Amino acid sequence: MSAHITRRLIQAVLTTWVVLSLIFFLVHLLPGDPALTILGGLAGQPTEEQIRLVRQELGLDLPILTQYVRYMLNLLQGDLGTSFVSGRPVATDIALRVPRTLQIAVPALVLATAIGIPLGVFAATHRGGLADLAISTTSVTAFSLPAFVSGLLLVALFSIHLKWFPSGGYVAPSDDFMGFLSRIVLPTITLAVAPAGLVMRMMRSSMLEQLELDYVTTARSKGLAERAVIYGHVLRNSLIPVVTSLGLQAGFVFAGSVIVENIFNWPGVSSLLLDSVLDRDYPVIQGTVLVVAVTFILINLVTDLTYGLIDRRISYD
Amino acid sequence: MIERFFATWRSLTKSPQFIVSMIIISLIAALTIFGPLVTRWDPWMINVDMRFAGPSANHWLGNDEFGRDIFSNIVHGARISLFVSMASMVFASILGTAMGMVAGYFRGALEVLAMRGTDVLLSFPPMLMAIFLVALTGPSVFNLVIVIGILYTPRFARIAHASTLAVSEVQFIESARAIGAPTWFILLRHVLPNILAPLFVQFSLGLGSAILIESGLSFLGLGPPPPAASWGRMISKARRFLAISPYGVLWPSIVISLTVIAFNLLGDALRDTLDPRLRGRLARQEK
Repeated sequence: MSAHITRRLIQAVLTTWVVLSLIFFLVHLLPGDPALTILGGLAGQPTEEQIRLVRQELGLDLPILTQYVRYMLNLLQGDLGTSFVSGRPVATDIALRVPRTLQIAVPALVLATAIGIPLGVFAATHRGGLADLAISTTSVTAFSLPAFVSGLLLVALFSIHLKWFPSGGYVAPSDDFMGFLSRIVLPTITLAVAPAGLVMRMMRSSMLEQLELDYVTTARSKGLAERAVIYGHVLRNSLIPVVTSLGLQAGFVFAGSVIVENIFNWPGVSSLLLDSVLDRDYPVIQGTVLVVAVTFILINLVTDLTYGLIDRRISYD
Repeated sequence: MIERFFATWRSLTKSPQFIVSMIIISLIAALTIFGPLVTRWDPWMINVDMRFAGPSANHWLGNDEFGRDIFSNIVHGARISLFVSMASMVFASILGTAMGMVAGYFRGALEVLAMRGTDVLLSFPPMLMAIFLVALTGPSVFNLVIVIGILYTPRFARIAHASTLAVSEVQFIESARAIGAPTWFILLRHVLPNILAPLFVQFSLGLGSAILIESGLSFLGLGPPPPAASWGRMISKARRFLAISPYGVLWPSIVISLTVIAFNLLGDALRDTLDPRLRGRLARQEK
């Protein structure tokens, strides 16, 4: 077990390093000159001299390997560089934005699980019936629906038509808690739609798979009530793949959050990424992609390691 | 071979998911191919008098903020959205299958390199990577195809790799090698036909995801530049007028959602029919 953990840790560190290097070289080798961007693009008509000065200031005139070493050394000290646009340290901006994304992402994951698991169980235990058909259809629709479709639908219904919730904007929970709550409702629901559909489907198929196994027949034949068979044995075992799919679900929530933050004007880390992309603000692009990528590597690592804890039958080595 | 094809087809046509998906896909295909012949309106023709008009006999789905015909725009957008998703999946499936097969057949350092590479790519959420890459390369139809194609290559590579590993152990491969068949011949003639089923499933599911990514990027303003009006772009422009007229958002939303649902249903039906044992395996791979 501990050998497995060590191996996975080394693997995660290696993956992180490869990802960091990939991001660095992609940003630096692909066309587009950040110096030109800072000076307002071609429309700003900067002189050769201005471009040269900015390049020098940013260290862009140094050989690429020198820049790479510098970048890595800075990273190790937690320095992600400075935004071209705002002039603030990238790390500060990201630290400000990450909690805001989590404020809608975490409730969305909880909501998706809370809806998806019971519906999936219901569909599996009523296999082939009308309820199963309805739930399965709902689940495919839910994860096929683009986030902007479900988001705009909710805005049209609950904020334009019924006027129950504001259509967007951010209020810090410490300033106005009720205002905060009313503003996270729609983004959270929008974000939860796709993962809820996925959880529903995984729960259903995982339970159906378990129901066909021998231990179920054994339990039934020794006279155990159906209820006890389902909730005492089957449910616990079929939860394993669903719980460990956290990494996959988090990916869906993140992909959705880029669009949800845009629809609801929510200033989280995804909208920081999008703004920096539109402004060609390279240090911020690099920083956000990096933070998100590392988060994912960590989530996958944790998922992998908990697998063995949840399911004792799995032994490594 | 032909018999097997007909057997598969017969059991496919019994699947309700397959029938529903085929109906939707035929409708969308008809819209793309025959739409331009049916509609009398130029998608870019501005008509100020008809701004935000609802559906009518002349303009079936209504008009947008410039009075342009929404139906013609959807027909036009279909070509871009469908082309991007189709082309990117063709790219991803060919490259990914080749990578996976070569890695699975030759093993060794090549395999380690290719499979570690796919692990790295798969550790990103595709949407994030797509935004990042499109930001660097600039938005154009060509770049979108390449970017989405690269993002989905690892999925095909993984599946092809796992299946090739399994097939390579089988005796007829050994026999083919023994009688001196060239490697490329073994790979194309013996390995490929035997690993196609799960790749078809992935192709269909990938088409749905590609449409989601393309329309998402277009919605965020990172899609193909004007005058190309893909579905996502139409929605992104119409959303500002949601309170005045819902039609500009409503129709393209319905078309995108139905298309993605259809490809997902088709993928499910193919998976159930081609290899029922696949279910569990694919679900695990998606993680």
